[in-house]
Amino acid sequence: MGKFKKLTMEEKLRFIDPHIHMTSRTTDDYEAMAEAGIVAIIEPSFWLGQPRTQIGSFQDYFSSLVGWEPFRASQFGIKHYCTIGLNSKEANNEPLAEQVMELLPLYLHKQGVVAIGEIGYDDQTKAEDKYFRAQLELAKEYNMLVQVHTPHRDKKAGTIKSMEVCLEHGLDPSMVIIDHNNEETVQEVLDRGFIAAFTIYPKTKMGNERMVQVVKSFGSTNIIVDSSADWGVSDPLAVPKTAGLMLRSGVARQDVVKTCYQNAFDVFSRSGKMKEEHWLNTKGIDQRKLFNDNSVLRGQQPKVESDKIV
Amino acid sequence: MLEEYAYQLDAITKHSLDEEEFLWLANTLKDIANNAGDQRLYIGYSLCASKVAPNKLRFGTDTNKEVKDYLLVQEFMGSDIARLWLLRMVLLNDSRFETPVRKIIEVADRNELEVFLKGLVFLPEPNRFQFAAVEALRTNISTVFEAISKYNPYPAKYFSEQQWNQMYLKGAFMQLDLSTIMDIDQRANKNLVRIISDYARERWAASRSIDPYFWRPVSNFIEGNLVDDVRRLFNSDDLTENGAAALVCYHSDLTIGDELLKEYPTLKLQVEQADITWENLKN
Repeated sequence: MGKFKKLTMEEKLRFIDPHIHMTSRTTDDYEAMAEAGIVAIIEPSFWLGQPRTQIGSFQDYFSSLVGWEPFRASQFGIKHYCTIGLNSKEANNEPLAEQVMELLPLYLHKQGVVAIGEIGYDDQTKAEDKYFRAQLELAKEYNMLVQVHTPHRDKKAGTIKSMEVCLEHGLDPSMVIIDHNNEETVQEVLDRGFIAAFTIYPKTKMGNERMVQVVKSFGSTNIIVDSSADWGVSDPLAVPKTAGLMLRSGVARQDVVKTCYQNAFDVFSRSGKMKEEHWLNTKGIDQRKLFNDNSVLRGQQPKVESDKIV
Repeated sequence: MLEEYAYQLDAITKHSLDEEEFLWLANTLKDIANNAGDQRLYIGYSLCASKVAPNKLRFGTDTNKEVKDYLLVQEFMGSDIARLWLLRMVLLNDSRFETPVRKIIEVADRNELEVFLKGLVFLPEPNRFQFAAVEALRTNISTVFEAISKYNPYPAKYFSEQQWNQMYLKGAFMQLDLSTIMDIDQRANKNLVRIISDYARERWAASRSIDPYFWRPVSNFIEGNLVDDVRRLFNSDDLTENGAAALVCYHSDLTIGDELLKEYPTLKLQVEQADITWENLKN
């Protein structure tokens, strides 16, 4: 960890993690992420591990994604954005899904909301299909980006289907981020003009050594690395760690920058809501300006930067 | 006072927005008025952030100074004034909009909520939204707390004694600049003074300091424990604490105030000559 940190700090690399569920993470993670060079994150709407049963749960969750969580992130110098949507799992509760569809327009235009997401298929049921399409229509109506979750089971077919449905509804593929890719899906995604995001998992599914190979084989155009760190076993430092590994494995610096920062910025900034000035050219965070006790800081030494040291 | 000039929001909004922006806003308002249902209001309110630039406000020559100063100190930008104006106009238009406005508060993001709280006094019958102001006291988000407590005339006018005390104590707890809370003298009360004394003693027992400004409300309640507290401030090595003690006594209507202050002739002179005031205490 020390060696990697020195490397990235010398390289002055900044990272964006465009898929991370901070609601489930502690401030230890925020501290580590900030120190590792993550400047901005995007938190997609997702399920919480067990199904919601009331519309109020969705409303309060969405509210936390545009309220408390961005504030919590800001106390560690990280800029937090989110995507709002009805996730694939909970689309299966149709009466509830209908209510969520009514709720979405109240949140989609808020300042921190960069896309509709994460939506798509889980088991590829009829209900999932219905609400995926309904949200694609919303995306079209409001000219928004779409963040697509691809299934972990029957992935290749599910990914292709997701893309075909997007095109069927007339979406511009360069406005759609297809996430959780692997070696089997990436070519199809890139060929059709979609953005291919890769989630780096600690043990199973896509690991960071395989990611290095993906970049070596497919290049860095339209490829993004993320962590999807959530309430399960996952690593919120997946992006900076993968970047470090890429550099040590001989991947060109510019490809690392693209896959771990620039591509994510380029696509999500098309929402008009994500701007580099939100984290660049800011005065160093001064946590002493923020209040102690009744905040996320409790008696720690505040981490203060008066001038950023790079 | 500010509430009397709330109507000036009209002119300020027109002046501050570009022609295109104001046209969008006016059309949005028309849309809301002409259509049943509340979606357009919710979406319109949210869209202000992207349709109206966060530019500095522009004021005409006839703008009331208090209004101008307030909007500037609260750092209102074009997009903020647009939001506030929209709410004000729908509420003036039809009382039925109280319900959807409540919903807007319920689903507000941080910025939307802060604009709402800062602009509360400009809305018709703002006491209808007391629940939102009081709820803001319980927040963990410092900027939201500040939106209702800093420079804002709403709490002094509308909060109950318990709510006022809650705000004052939490402000101290959060190490907010208490001099930004308005009308402290007017809302001073016995319960608050007891709370102040207890909190100070808690801090002192932990060898921690308190903002000397914290003592401002105790002037007319110097009795019991407070006498010892004020003496302690007079005898402190900290000059600002000495100054605070002097101010508390000087502004007191009680004889004890005079009696205590008499013992410190230098300080007495300084407060009489306004060398030390609550305004300059921490300079």
